[in-house]
Amino acid sequence: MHIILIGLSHKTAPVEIRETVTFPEQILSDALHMLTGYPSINEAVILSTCNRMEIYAVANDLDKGKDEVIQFISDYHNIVRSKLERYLYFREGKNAILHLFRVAGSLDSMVLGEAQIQGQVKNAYDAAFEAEATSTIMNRLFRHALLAGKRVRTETEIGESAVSVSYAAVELAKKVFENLAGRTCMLIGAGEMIELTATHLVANGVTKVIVTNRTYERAESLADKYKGTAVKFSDFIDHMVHADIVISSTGAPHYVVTKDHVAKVMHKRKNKPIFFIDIAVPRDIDPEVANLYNVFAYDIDDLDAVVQTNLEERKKAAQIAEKIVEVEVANFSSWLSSLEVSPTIAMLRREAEEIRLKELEKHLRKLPNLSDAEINILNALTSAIINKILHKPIVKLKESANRKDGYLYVESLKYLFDIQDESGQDEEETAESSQLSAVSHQLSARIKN
Amino acid sequence: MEKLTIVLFWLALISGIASSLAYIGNFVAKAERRVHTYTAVGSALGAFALLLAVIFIRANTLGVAKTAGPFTIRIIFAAFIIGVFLLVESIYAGKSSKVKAFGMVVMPVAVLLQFLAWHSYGVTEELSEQLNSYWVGIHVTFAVLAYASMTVALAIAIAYLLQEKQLRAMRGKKPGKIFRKLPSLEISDELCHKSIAFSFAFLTLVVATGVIRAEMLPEWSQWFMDPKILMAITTWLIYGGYLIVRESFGWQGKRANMFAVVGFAVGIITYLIGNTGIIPSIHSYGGGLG
Repeated sequence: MHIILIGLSHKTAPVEIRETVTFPEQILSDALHMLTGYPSINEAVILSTCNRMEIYAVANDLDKGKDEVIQFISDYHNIVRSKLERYLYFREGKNAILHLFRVAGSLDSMVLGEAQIQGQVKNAYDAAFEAEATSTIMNRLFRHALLAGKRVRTETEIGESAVSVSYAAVELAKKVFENLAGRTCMLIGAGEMIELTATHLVANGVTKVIVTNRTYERAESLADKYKGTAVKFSDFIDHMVHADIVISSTGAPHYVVTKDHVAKVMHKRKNKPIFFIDIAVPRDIDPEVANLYNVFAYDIDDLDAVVQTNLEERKKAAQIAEKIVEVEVANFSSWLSSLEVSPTIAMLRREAEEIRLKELEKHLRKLPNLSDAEINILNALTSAIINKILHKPIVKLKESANRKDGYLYVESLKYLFDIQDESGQDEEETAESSQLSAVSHQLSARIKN
Repeated sequence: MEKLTIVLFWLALISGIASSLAYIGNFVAKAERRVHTYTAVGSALGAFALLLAVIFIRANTLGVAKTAGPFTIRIIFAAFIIGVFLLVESIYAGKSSKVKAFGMVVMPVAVLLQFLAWHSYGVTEELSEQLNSYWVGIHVTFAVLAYASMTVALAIAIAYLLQEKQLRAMRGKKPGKIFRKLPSLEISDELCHKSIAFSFAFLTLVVATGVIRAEMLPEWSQWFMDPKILMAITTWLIYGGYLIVRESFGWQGKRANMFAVVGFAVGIITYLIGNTGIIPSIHSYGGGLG
């Protein structure tokens, strides 16, 4: 049994390739059925986002599994294998686990610490779970990965602060106003950057949008987008009194908003705080306005400074996150290895004990005149023999549990002693016994191969 | 019973310290820990309840007359600060979880007050004729409530001023803990306003009950000439001024918060007059009673 990962991401493949090998939600179930239909693939999860496509699988055989997954991708998307393989990366065992945990912790993302990936990992797992493509190992692996991702988010500041200029504007605004809900925002200019920032503000609760632009039609069309109002460029200062947040980005070569303007506005506003963001170069808003009472004004460099410090903070947080991920990977790996060995030992002991009791009973019937003390001695004797014989293999087996190829010994032992899994269980299997049977199913399947 | 109250008092002190450390821990830590939050709030609640228990048990067993003194006043003060803060935190929990950052200031102040209380343990004030009145009881209770709200307002006002300073120097100074962990200007300003409205209301009652009592005492006929009483009225005027300029001049924000700091400073001076012997006052009682 091997955990393998085959995938490609923004780090290895250009967008032209990434967009051809996606697995959108509606075909995922079908794809998973096809994938788990391959002889070596026992379990599989397909994680497909715009930046990565990764297939996590539990395979009976390392090489066959790898080969089949690549074959699956190339078949499903009609891509020549040799072309595809250039972009793929491959991990197995602990490295595959580590990779998934890092992905779930957003440590492998294009933008370090971005929040979306956790949901994407969860969706990928849920889809695989529903398609019955997962079993013991993938279930545990993905639940553990999501847990690790959650720990990273709650125990570090990796996703706390804004790392884009337009989001930094929202973050700053939220330091002045606790809540953007119900606030009014004025847009001076109607360019792309201003639209992006406005979208962020609206997503954070800004309800009223006033747009002004030199060409009135542009202002109107942008205002329509946010169900706002457009005002003429000649008298936008008069409307500024209603705005809590003002974003400016015009192509004007000189200041469009002067200190006098804002002083007048503030007087009318009775000094209610106002927040200016100037994303134009050359600047639209006289930087002097920042000296007015309760006026908070920022330009593109201020925002960039915020973004830069936040990026540094994220990198620092990522170092802590890597340690969390390491610990979680170790936790999972030890579970994974104990999974195979301990139930096998228990079954071996049970089997031996059964034989001993049966034989003891049979022979005691032939010796009816034994005293209790003698029976006890016989009992102890047989026990001792069994324990002594089993002692060494059990110790060796436990030792091999932490080794990479530990499962091979388990498998041999099961084969040699002909240890069978308890079959014919109820539908409501306990978690433990389902783990047991899942493992032994895989193992017996392997033996047949 | 005295042993019990002492044990409870020390337990309260330990809870206060644990809560302070947890609040500070939450501020300093890379990210908020749930353990910290629970410890902070739980211990603060514990300290509050324990202090109330000490106050009531002592009043019950020793009698009000015997317990009147700086020890009791200071632990009442400590309990009220914690109480006011917990009230504010619970009301604002849904609006901004960052309000709890103030605990970092409020809880250590409460702990400090408890140490000061222990320092004057056993000092009792003979309830002279002057003090033996209903009016005095009400007067003192309101004074403690007013000072407690003033302390919370001070912590919030300082947080406001620090946050604003940070926001005005975004490019020069890297956004740090202040930026991340303190509440927004809006919340701080609003909370400071509310705390001061409370303390102003209590101060009004303090001054009113004080004047009524003074008028009853023939030896206090010159009360309006006393420096301490004049300063108390000044404090009241400053807080009243805060409320007026905020509403009528639109002085919300920095100026209002500076008013809160000045008001607190004057309040402290008022308290020190008559208690330290530098400036004499007729309103002077043993061991920093009032």
